[in-house]
Amino acid sequence: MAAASTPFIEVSFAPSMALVSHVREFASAFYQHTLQDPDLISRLGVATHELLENAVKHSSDGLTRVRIELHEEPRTISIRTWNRPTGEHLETLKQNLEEIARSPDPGAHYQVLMRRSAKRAVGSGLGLGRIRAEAEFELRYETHGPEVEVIAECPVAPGK
Amino acid sequence: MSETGLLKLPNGVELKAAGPGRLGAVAGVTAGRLELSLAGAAETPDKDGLAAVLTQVHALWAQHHYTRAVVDLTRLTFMNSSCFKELVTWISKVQDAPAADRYRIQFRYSPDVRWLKGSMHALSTFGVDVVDLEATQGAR
Repeated sequence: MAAASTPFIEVSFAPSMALVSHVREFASAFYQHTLQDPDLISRLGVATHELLENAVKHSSDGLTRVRIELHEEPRTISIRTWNRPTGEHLETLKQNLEEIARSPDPGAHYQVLMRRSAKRAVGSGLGLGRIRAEAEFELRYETHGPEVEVIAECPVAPGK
Repeated sequence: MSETGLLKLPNGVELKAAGPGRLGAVAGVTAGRLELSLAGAAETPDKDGLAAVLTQVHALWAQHHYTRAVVDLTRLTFMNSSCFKELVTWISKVQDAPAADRYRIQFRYSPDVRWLKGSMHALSTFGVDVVDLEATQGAR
């Protein structure tokens, strides 16, 4: 018999923006049965959607994987996406995440991104900043050969 | 119906959007103010439709000179960053207009919807000189 583990879901799918919405809705429904925290579930939906859209949009081989998992000690929830981005996008992703890491105030940094976004003709440039400022998840990344893993993590209140 | 999914009525003061996504939008001018209601999920397929609606809303100002645009978000179930950017761009356009040409944008929302509460806080900070928030109870 497999050992008991904390709740998680993991989905692999071929890039499709329409599927992103369905995965977000599925993840939110799944965690409504697991977490007693409507506030966190609402924020989880935003973070899941934005991370997945980024991964799907920039997957070079057509595959995206996502894992959402509740952890104990410390009690946190994480969203991880894996894809194989183009070299150009990997550099952009690194720059964006490093800029976030250098910005101690998520709200102030998000305002900077919004001012840039207002003048952008293509793309919003807001997704990662939104995960941090609105959904209140911390972000980091790891590379594994050609694959990049983006991790969003947030504490879960005791008893929730 | 135009290519953007806008339906302009003969009196030119109402419009509807029904793009390829799941967002519904209806706007109308009454008693000197414009009301725009968004319903459903605003996601990437809806971005161009929403941008077109907001462009129409801004254009209606020139025709009717309303002093306030009320945006009702109480039936909105989700908005991604692509559509959020369209709200940011609209606010920026109003901010960039000459002072005499500015109008106020009032977002009506339920603070019980946590993700929307965060978005409203960010928008009100960004548009501090033109944005008002109207928190209302009893929505979804």
